[in-house]
Amino acid sequence: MINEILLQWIIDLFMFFLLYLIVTMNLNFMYGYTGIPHFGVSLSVAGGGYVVGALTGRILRSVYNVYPELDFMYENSKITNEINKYLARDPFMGIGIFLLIILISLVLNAGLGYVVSRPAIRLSGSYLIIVLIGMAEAIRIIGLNYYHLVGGTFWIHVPDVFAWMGEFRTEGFLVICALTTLLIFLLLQAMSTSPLGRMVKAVRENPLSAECVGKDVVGIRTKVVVMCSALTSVAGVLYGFYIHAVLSTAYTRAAWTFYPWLMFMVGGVGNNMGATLGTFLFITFRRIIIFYKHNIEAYVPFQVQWLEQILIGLMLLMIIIFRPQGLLPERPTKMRGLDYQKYYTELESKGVKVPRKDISAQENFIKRLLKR
Amino acid sequence: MFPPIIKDALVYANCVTMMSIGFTLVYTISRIPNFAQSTFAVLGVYSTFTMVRILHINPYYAMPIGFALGAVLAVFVYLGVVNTLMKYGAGPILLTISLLALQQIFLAGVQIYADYVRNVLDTYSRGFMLRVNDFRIGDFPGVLIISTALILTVIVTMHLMLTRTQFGIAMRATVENAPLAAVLGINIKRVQLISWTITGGLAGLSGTFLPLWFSSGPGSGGMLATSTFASSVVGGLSSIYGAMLGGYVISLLEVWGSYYLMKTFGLWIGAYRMIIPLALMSLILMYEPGGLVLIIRKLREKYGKPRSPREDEASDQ
Repeated sequence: MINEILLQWIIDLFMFFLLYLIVTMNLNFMYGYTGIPHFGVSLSVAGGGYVVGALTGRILRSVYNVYPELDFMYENSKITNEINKYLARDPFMGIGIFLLIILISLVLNAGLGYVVSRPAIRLSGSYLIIVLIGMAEAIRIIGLNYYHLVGGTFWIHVPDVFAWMGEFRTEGFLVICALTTLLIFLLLQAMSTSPLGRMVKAVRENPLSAECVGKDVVGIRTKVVVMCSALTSVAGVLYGFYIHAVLSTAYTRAAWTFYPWLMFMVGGVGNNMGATLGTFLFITFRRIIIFYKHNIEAYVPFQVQWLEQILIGLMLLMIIIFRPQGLLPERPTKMRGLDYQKYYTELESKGVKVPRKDISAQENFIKRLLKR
Repeated sequence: MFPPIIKDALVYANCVTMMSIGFTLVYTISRIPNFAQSTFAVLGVYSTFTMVRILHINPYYAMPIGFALGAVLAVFVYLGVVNTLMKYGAGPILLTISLLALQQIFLAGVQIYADYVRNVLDTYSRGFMLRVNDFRIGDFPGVLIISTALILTVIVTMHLMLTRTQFGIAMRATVENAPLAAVLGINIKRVQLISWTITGGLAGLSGTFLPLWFSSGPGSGGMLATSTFASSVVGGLSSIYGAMLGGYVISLLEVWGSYYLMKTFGLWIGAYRMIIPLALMSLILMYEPGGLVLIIRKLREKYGKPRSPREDEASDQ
């Protein structure tokens, strides 16, 4: 019994860690690497969620022709139950739909990212922040009020596309999520250590000089926002498939914009390992609070979630004041494509001593070289 | 005889304008978008609620309390967080994040109060509307009269302060060029502190009017916030005159626009009314980021008669 609860807790922990990791990584690429203060990340997550909620059930219903006479929204649970029975015997359809939904979500959210960032992407930070916060709120309001999208203030059931996994469904889905996240992680890591990574850092550090050497700053910023919005929406898609439902009330600014910002501020800005560490620490902390929440609930005349919000807000303030660079500060990245070994051997042949083992000593060495 | 839609629009416009004056004031002086501002308004909302539902007295006693609460909180935000962070050398992005964090904290505080009131005193503490507790003079509800009178007072006072007093001149100098103003002996910290106080107070006041006309709760701040951002941006984020203009343009268009859309397409469209300010803000940012102030100035340069230097000076704040 205890073991089962513990197992569920651990699976939940890892699941949310993976979901938030996707968001944080993308946020880190947007703000940490490119310097775009994207305060509307929740809109991409919500966009992914809406795609899952609105399309999965409808597509599968027309595929299996389940209760064509019933209204899709009002008889949602009945229809979804019936679809699940079909899906339990049809792994190929399940996987196919999963991939199709991710694809649709990528395309739609890339478009959404373009639309919301278009008005202010060329302006200074404050304007962009104001516009993105407003846009995220607008997306949420649309989800809350347009009943036929994802059920307004109610929710919509999502057919279980991994029902064929049987009793290993939860673990199996965790593995699939882990693979998806790993793919996104590797993609972003590859980008940030490539010449592209150097370019976006140049845009972050000094847009004017980047423009002077012929880089299209607005274009680069737009491309980064569009790509990251598309990738962030994958988190929304996975979240919808994980809890078998989409609630438009879940995509609040606190949960999907503010927490991811906090996570990568904790871990370290402009550094993917830092973002991962921050996400892990924060999610563990939060899961522990959620686990013990009910024990406190009896003693206070209000909901504990507000106390949690206050605690998290204070935590962020403390971090900003005492360790603004995060737990793992940004380091000069080793660029792929540069043959460091060649330089080392060349230098050693001239009689210069190169520290090969110790990384921080290497960094200092490179810095000293650059200063010369 | 006085159509309710005009009352709706005017009450809303008065509240939004009060907010956007504050937002612009802080932005021009400290260069930070004050995202915690909408929470000051929620404090106002709950002070009116407390007056009416708990103490059972006239709702307008909430005005000084809302003002004081907003101002005190704003001073705390400025001295405790913004100033401290600036000392540590934090940039505008870090300040923005910290303001969002503060907003979460304050909003959670208000939610705790609402929960407490509901559980202990057993009354509705979210989604309340106190229109019946307001007084009326003929066809006009009290909140319309009082808020209009107040916003006119605020506008006139601000104008006089900025053009006729030493402090107003110091303020304008800070807006123009803060380091230079500091060199000339202006205490920038004091100017910033006072601008934050005014902002907090005005936001608190604006919040006290909301429940007398609209259904309110902890989410009211969010409702006001979008319109406030939009009006400040449309006004140009550079002068408080622009903020006043933007406030009225945006909120009147929002209320009337959604009213006519609802008439044409049905009531369902009313829920999406916040799209209107967002769309207007996006249009302005795409075609003239300087806002209405700059558009008017350009039009005057093109068609109008040349202006006296005195006028120039006044509109430059």
